[in-house]
Amino acid sequence: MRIPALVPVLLALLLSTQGAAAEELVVIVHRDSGISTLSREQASHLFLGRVKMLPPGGRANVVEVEPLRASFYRRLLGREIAEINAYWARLQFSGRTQPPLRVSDSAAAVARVAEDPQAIAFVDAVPDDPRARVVLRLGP
Amino acid sequence: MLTVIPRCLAAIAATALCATSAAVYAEGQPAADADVRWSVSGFGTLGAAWHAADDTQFRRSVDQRRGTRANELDFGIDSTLGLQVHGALTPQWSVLAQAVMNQGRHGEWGPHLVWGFVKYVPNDWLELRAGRLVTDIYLDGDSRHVGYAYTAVRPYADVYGRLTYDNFDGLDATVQHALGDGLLRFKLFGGRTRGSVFLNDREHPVKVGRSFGATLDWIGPELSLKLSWGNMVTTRNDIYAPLRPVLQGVAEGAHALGDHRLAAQASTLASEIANSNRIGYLGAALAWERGPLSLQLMGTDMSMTVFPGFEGWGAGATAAYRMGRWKPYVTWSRSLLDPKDRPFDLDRPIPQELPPPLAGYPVAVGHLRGLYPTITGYTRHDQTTIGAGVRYDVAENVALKLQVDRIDAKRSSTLLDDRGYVTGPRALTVFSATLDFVF
Repeated sequence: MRIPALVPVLLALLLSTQGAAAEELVVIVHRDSGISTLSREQASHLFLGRVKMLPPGGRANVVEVEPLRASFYRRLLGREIAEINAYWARLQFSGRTQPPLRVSDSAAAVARVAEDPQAIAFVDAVPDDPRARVVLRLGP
Repeated sequence: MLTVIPRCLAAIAATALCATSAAVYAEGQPAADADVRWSVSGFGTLGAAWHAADDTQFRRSVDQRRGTRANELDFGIDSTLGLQVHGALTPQWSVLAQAVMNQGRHGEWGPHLVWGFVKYVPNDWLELRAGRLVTDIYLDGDSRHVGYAYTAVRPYADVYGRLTYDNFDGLDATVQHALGDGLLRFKLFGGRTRGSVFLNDREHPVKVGRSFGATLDWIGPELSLKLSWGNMVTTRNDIYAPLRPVLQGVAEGAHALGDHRLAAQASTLASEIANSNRIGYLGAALAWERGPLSLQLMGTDMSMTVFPGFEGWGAGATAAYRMGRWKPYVTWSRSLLDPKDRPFDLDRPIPQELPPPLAGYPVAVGHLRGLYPTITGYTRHDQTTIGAGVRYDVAENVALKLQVDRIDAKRSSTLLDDRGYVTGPRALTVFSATLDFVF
């Protein structure tokens, strides 16, 4: 491989980030959760494990969609996924709290939320399931 | 070049390899149901350090028996392996145990328990823990062992490297409440101290001691603030116990000779060995993150009434800029500790003719003349470190760090000479490379 051909590869490596760039990401909860909307601050505290209860009460069961994590945290917090992972290492290994459940795609997250009134998740499209309610939208 | 390969290196390397290729969806991930859930996780660091300063051992903390020697590629000071088991028994009750294996106080690699507690969280504003806990003084989490959690290779060795009495068996209670767009947290902790210091080729564990203190945090979207206050009180200090009868002998001899000033000085010092027993710190820290930029500032005031006593301060700063997987950073830290300046007039002339009961007095005074400056010198510390490095997140759970530190020490108890004694002045450049991982 010639050196000029390496440049874009190195640049891609240098600035590479993980995760797909969905059009819109939405935060969803169960329709019986008692939550109609969430602020960005509330969502940040929940997804970063700082607050362990949903606003109406009851323990929050936080669900992450693995391929959307980088995009979600960049949009919600403006931070790279490597920073989020280091943050979770701090919490997890100092006994503060355990990281959220991760699922492989949005459909699995919607299924979790549809069955659990205490669940909260982010997905890449407004779900068709009537048991899921969108409480926060994060544009591209 | 001498290469030091600890026995557990192969184990850590193998674990790092496993961590790199670990599946994202570990079986141990918590499930969203209400059943008892157990998870096993861990962290580690494969680290190498090198410098070329003769007759100098570089340590990351004072509980390490040995450090990196000149022209020696050392895998010992930063390499670590930690294993954690967590059980969520109910939504309110959980248990956690964490064992860490690193180069310990005796140079061995046996695991030691860093965390081991039962936690009760009745609601969103209260959290109670009981068991083996860690003093909450670190900005990047309550542990100095999780390299993956830090930006730099290691916490500020100048500051945190001296605070190794950081484990305790006891209780902590945290309350939190929303304040502004952040969370305000207040923690109280207390219990029996665990920890050790290795100085002058000898370990100084806290045989019987109590730790207690409090922290106040405010965590906002970009800014986090932390105030820490802590104390460690020893109820039995054996380190200088042999010195006490010598000081008492000098006090009695000086009194008999009419030197009441020296008698009072020696008597006070003898009393301090038995009764003065507190090590305290008061710290403040700030972390600010906006997009790719992050800044950390911390400062702490330290004092010790335990004989011979010292007062001092430490400070540290880190600035970093995230560019995708890369994160270059610069660090600065300084700590200063001086023995308390108390008069001890040992140089006053001793009468030639002494009555038989005072025959041993000149011997005791001569002994102290040689020993006292040495003892007070053990606590003297004046060290500054400037560093630069880069973190590269190789994969989701693995980070490679390369770092250069320039250390200038007028006097140091973190650095040792080749015999294992506190040393100074020294100036050295330390090159470090670590592979940090979590799994």
